Amino acid sequence: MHPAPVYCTDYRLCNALGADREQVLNRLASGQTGLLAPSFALPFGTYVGELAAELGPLPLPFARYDSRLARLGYALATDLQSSIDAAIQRWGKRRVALILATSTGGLLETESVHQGLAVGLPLPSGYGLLRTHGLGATAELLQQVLGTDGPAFVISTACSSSAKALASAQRLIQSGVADAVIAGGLDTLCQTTLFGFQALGILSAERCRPFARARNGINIGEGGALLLLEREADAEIALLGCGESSDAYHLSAPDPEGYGAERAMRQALEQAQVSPSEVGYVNAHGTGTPQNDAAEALALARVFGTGPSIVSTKSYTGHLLGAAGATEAIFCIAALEQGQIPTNWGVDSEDALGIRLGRETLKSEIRYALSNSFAFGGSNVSLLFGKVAP
Amino acid sequence: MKQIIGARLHLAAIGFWQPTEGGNTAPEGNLLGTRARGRASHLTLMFAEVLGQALAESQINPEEMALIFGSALGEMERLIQLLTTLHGPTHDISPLRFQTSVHNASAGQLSIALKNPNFSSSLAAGCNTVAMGFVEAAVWMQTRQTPLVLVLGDEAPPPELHPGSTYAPLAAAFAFLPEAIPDQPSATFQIVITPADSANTELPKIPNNLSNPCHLLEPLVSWLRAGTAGHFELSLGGPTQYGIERR
Repeated sequence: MHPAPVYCTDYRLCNALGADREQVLNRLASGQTGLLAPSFALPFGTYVGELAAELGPLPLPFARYDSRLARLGYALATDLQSSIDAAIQRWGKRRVALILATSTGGLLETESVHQGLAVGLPLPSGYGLLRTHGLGATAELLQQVLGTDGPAFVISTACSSSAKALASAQRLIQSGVADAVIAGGLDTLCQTTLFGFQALGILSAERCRPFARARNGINIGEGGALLLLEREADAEIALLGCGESSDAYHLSAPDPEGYGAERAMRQALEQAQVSPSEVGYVNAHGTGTPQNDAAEALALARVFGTGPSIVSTKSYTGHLLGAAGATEAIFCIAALEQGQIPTNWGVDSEDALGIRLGRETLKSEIRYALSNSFAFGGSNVSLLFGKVAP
Repeated sequence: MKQIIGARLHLAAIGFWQPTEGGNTAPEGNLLGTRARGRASHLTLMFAEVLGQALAESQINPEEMALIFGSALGEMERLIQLLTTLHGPTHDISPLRFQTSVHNASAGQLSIALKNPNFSSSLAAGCNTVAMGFVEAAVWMQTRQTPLVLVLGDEAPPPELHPGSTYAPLAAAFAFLPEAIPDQPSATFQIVITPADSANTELPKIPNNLSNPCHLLEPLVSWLRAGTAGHFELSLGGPTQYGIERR
């Protein structure tokens, strides 16, 4: 089946590159990384992508949902509110769905509460297991803030979460259940992820350098990205194809041959009826670990050869985990809109891996861009965006 | 006015697990191999148990199905183990516990055990997790039309973060086929939504702390197994009501 395009009518994002859309995209275009030494103490060396935005408290009616994640979601959603209001006006509030993604939920607050309990402090009165920690809490909050009445849930498949949220949004619109979907992802830094990736031995003590020969691991970041997708719109860019597969190989390591990743990419291309040679830019998952990048490069080489420019933007933002897929989808949309492909930070001419790694910011009118997101559990997602005729 | 969500669902089999009084507090989860069972969390064992029951009854080829998991809280047992270590003297987190603490840990372990290379997902929606799981399933069946198993459940809450009350863990799996099942009209139903009444449109209800967020699974499974016609309400709050209708 060749499904109809799903139009991207607006988006917002923030992360280590900037507090708003313009700052993030400008710094990405100018090749400046947002990765810095952490502003907090850790017993090991690493770089992190800390949010470049101050997050204010939630308004009183919503205070019971308070968490850093909820504040991030609230800031992005209210920034996007005028477009969402227009969508509600056009389609009706019951026809507007909200599909978010996160891997951590309110884990930052739960860490603090648990630490307090360990030294005899009482459970804080404002803490609720479902509304503070629960992964679905931010969708419940934003549904109230934005006034949407359509389906609302959160997808949590680790690092592919928000790419899956966009794929789910596509299905909701194509099935006729929704006419517009607010979709995206949110994740905030917390100890569990930093110590967890350190325990797995894949956290880099330096700034990460995806696809470089000297790559030695990932950096973790925090951020959020929300997109408004609609059935019909006077918009230039659309989500044209989604591919989703499972490696069925290992819980945290990729299939070394990248077969699951290849299946996801081919599904997205097939659904969009776009040939690999028409794709001008691939935003790779590109975490910076030797294993992940090698497996993805094999899959990319089989699908695309040395055709499109392959770039990992995790060297700018850090790995945003549950927010990575939606953030990198926006980087693809921006590349299509602006005719400008970012460069791989920290990759030099000796690095190849059998694919075409972008080594400078490239001015190039492209028609199609693909974003890859892979995750623990062997969860693979590829999203194909393209320019559509007005 | 009612709106039908997604495709008609053709239910081929149900799996269900909850602890019984005086025994059976540990799900077997035989879909996982012996080694994987030893490493699996209680939630993953619950999901493996109900998925195994549904697959055995439905005859769905596990290599050809899609899988959707839903849980309001996910891997809380694993998370508490991690936090206890993190706040201990060594901060020495177990890599295995970390990688099995993610919400889609069950999806990963079961896709590996079943050699399933297809779509799998994992969602959460607080007290509406059951309703949203069925919405996602109905939409999947309309747009992709492959066999699908929907697996839902939550374990008991961690007492330190949920003091003063507890509830029992439970899980259920629902196996769907893309075509109607011959001679079983009662196996077919649809998901419908209706606007909530005005009294329900202000704020979603905070779920009852005494109830498992997925507690609807027990009466839902009984209702589906009984095969009677009618409406089963899936919503526990929110501005829109989701239900199952069977003729």
